[in-house]
Amino acid sequence: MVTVKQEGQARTIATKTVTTIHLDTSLQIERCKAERKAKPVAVFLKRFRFSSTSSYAKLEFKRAWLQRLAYLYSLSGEVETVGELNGVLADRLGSHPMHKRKLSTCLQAIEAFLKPSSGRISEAAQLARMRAHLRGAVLNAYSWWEASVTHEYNGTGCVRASERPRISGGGKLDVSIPKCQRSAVRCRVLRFLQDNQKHLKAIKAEIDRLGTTASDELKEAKAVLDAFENDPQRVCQDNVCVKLGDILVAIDGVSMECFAANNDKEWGPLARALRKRLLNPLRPQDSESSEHST
Amino acid sequence: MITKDSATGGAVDMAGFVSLVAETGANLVPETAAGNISERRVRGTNATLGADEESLELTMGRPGTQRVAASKGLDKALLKRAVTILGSFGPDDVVAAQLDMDALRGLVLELWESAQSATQDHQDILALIEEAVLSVDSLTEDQISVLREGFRDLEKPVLGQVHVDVIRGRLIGQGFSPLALLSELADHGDS
Repeated sequence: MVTVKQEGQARTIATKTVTTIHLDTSLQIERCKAERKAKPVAVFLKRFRFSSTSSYAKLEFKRAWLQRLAYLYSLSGEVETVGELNGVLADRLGSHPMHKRKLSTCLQAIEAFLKPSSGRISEAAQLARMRAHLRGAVLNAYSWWEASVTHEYNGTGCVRASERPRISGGGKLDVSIPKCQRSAVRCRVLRFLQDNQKHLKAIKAEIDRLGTTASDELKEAKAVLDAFENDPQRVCQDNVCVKLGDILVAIDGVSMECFAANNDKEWGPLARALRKRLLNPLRPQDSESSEHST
Repeated sequence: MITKDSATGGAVDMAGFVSLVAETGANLVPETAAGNISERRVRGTNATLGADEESLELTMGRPGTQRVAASKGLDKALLKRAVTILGSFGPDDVVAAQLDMDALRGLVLELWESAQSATQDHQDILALIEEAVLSVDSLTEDQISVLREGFRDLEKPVLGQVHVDVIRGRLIGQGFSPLALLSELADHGDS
């Protein structure tokens, strides 16, 4: 039984049992949190026999979290105490508005690592502890990611996602995301988009239908898709294809029965366009519901 | 390696040390004799737990070379206590389990004092264990088994990347996330 919302009305209908689900980056991030936070998603996913995500979602995860943690690790090797680290961070990132989110993530990470140890161990031990946790978080994240789903779709063949974080020769964490250029294409994003024109058309139609109420991210993606029609190779550039992130992740898992995400502004329209059920286990009232049934 | 426990007077076996003596042929000089406080020297936070404070310093053979703090290892008394707690851990008794979890978290935290001079592999396993005990309220039998294995590995003076990989793989297999401590981070996108 599934509750379906249509035109503001909720009604319960009988559906076949859904056993496969495709997860967006937002839910994967929820899953990697401590048990207390991750539990609702873990319990929700138990009912599915097959869960998937996309390698492109891993790229987003790498960029939003792992690169920033690696940066923090690098800076932490230059200081003697965590207090000093806060100062260095503020000096390097604080004055630049473009780095606001990076600074925020780093400061929150420091706070999160220090919280359990606050005032209970020496400053030197705190720094050693934080560095070990940062190293572990970055180097072990891919192993966790791969073990967290039954399958990872890789339709885009994104090389930027596939490169695992590693320790470089100098003992530094290497979480580099190489630049992509149309003159040296190494992935299958272009081919992937060309092969899925039908889905792209449906997505564009849905964004058009939303008009001004579409999210900024979807509007940006629509602009890229419009340009793609005239100049397909334009997407073969890292700062362009990244704007199609949610779309690439969604189409990668289009063979699955339903989608699960925690950012409805983008995934609601994508699920409607691709005629998938969208589930959000973090909203109790919605964990059994969908905007659209298959 | 047996060192003198300054707090209790007993012998404390330190695991996970890196001996530079064999590699460099340098002389070990007690820190007090050298009159030079090691940068890595830490204050004892719980004397009853037997953390070793007798730090040693390495003097390189050639004149004019820098003094290097000799690496020691994890406090074995704390490691043994952790294994003992896990051995009697009763997941069915909620109150007892909660007390044991608190004790485990405290022990792991205390271990970081001695972990500063341990190898990176020891620190990596300790971080994995801490991530696990901080992210759950209780432990299953399988989780206890992995953690016990992790603590036993930490008792070994020499570890390799394979030890870290095995413990990491088993902890992930038991549902633990290496990013669990970052639960409160906002889900930021691009910078």
